[in-house]
Amino acid sequence: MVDLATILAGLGDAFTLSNILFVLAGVVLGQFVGAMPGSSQEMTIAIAIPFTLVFTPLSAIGFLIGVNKGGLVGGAIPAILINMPGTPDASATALDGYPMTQKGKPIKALKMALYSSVTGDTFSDLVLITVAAPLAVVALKMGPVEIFALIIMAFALISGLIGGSVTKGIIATVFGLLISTVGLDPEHSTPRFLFGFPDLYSGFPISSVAIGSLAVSVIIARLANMSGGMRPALHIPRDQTADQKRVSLAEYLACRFVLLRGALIGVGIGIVPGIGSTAAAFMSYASTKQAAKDPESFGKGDIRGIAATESANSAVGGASLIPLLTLGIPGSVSAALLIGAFLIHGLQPGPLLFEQQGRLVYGLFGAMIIANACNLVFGLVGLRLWSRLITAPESIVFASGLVLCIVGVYLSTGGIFGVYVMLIFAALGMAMNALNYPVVIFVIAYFLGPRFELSLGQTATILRGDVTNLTNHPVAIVLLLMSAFSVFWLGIRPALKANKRKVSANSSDPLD
Amino acid sequence: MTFERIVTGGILAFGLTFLFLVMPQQVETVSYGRVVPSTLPGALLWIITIAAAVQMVTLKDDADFNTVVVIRAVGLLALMVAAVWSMDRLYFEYVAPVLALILMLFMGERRWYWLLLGGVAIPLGIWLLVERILDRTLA
Repeated sequence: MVDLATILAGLGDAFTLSNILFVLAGVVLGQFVGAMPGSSQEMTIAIAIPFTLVFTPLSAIGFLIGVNKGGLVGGAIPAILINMPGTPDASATALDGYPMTQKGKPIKALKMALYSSVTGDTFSDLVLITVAAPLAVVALKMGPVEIFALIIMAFALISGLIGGSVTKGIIATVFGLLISTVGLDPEHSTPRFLFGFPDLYSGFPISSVAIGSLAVSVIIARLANMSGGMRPALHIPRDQTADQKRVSLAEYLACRFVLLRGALIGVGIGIVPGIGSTAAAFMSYASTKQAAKDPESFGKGDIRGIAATESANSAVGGASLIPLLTLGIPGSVSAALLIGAFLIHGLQPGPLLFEQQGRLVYGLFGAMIIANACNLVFGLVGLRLWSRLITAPESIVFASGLVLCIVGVYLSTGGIFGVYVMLIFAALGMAMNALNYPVVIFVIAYFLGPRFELSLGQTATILRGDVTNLTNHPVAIVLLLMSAFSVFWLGIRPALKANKRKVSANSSDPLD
Repeated sequence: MTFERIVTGGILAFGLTFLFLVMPQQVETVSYGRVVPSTLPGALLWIITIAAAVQMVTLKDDADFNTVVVIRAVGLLALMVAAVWSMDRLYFEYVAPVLALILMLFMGERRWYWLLLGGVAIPLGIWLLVERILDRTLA
């Protein structure tokens, strides 16, 4: 048990001027990189780790935590302003963020994203600081069967986003899963669908698939649709009222349950290693839409949509550190990179970390709180700057965006092959958009695919092929029942309602 | 036959081709384990095939296309492929400004100061940041 003196000493270490400046520098860099389509905070952390060798351990980890948290806020900026999500998490934010921009409320959308992100992040940090150890034990009890059921539930919740055509939604989901089977199979490590390309042994690079189908496809489609005349990438009306630019306290408080639900989903997903913030963002969005009295307003610029996705994806960040700090298991790519940074600085994450390095751990918690405050303050300054930059001509914004996508994917995949893959998925994304196949669902399925197949194999082995053995896994049964309910509530019920409305509209039409 | 029905037919053909021709060639046969390498892709290909068949029957509307836009999009993609191919053979710092300039001119940008900023300053700034400051190579 860590004593109070150690906790206070750790927090005291964090709140020194030099440490605050390191965290602030990390946040600024993270927000900047997060706002660049094609870049990611994971890539920045990976690049920054060697530079932190000369820092003290707390400054180094604080700086990297700042990069991570800043990136979560920055990722929403291009998604909201130009519908160009740099990361898959942000694609959920774009669903309502970009329509708000089109309605002339980009500043308001950005502010809501910032407040929601900081709220979700702070909530998960508080969970981490107060109940990390017991939660880690719960996470440890989530075996392959429970994780498999959780992934099924993620798919079930996401079914609410399928859109108009169920068959198109199914084809997009299944195609995403199919693409994820390229490479070595998780159980036997035999190659699949390589077609003579050894680069495919580890599958299609995640960044190539996500950035190609979500960002590059959108830019190219927009360029192809341009009909002459240079316009700013974003037009913000000059005569905006204060209400159009700010998020009032009443609006923020009206979203309190949405924010809380998002944060809880984010924490729940974050403590389970390997699922990730993209699934959390979409699960939160789908459940908020499901709970709303006016679900039809979502996708048309509903501020609750932004609150739901940003609170959830940011809450994953803090929660993913719970298994990292207490068990030494990374819950996300960023957490895996942070493990590397911990080891470089002579720290061994795991059950003994609190005992042996209690002061440093509480220093880290202090740095996380500072990072949240910096995120809020710098975010408010930064979003004005970003919204100004984005009012530059489309020619500059989109040409630079495409060059950045190439550079980002080249660096994250370590070669030109990943860039070619990005272009293939850009073409696929454009075709899917043109034919109304849900690209976002395709990408989420691709992300969840490897974990899904691994859990499927492990579950089949644990249950020995007998479904009745599922009775030994009550948590999995609850999750599967919730999945069935979600499919009915989100998928079948709206379709039945729409049919009913159609029938009643037809019968009330005197011409029929 | 509508364009969308043709595309759906293509998806159906893709499912069947992969199921019966490609998968036996590209996925190794393993005789042990409950989930073998072909289990998941096989199941997924069946679902794609069935979903496409259902869609073929139930399709009502056709996709709305503008041929000029499609040609422009294909041209832009071809330009990107050519640029990436060139980057692999020449240097990023030579190809990226040319790509950015072509894209800006394609969009109708003619103001020299914006062309200078977007076509020269930004690509070279990225190159300086990545290659010189971060010490990472760009092709």
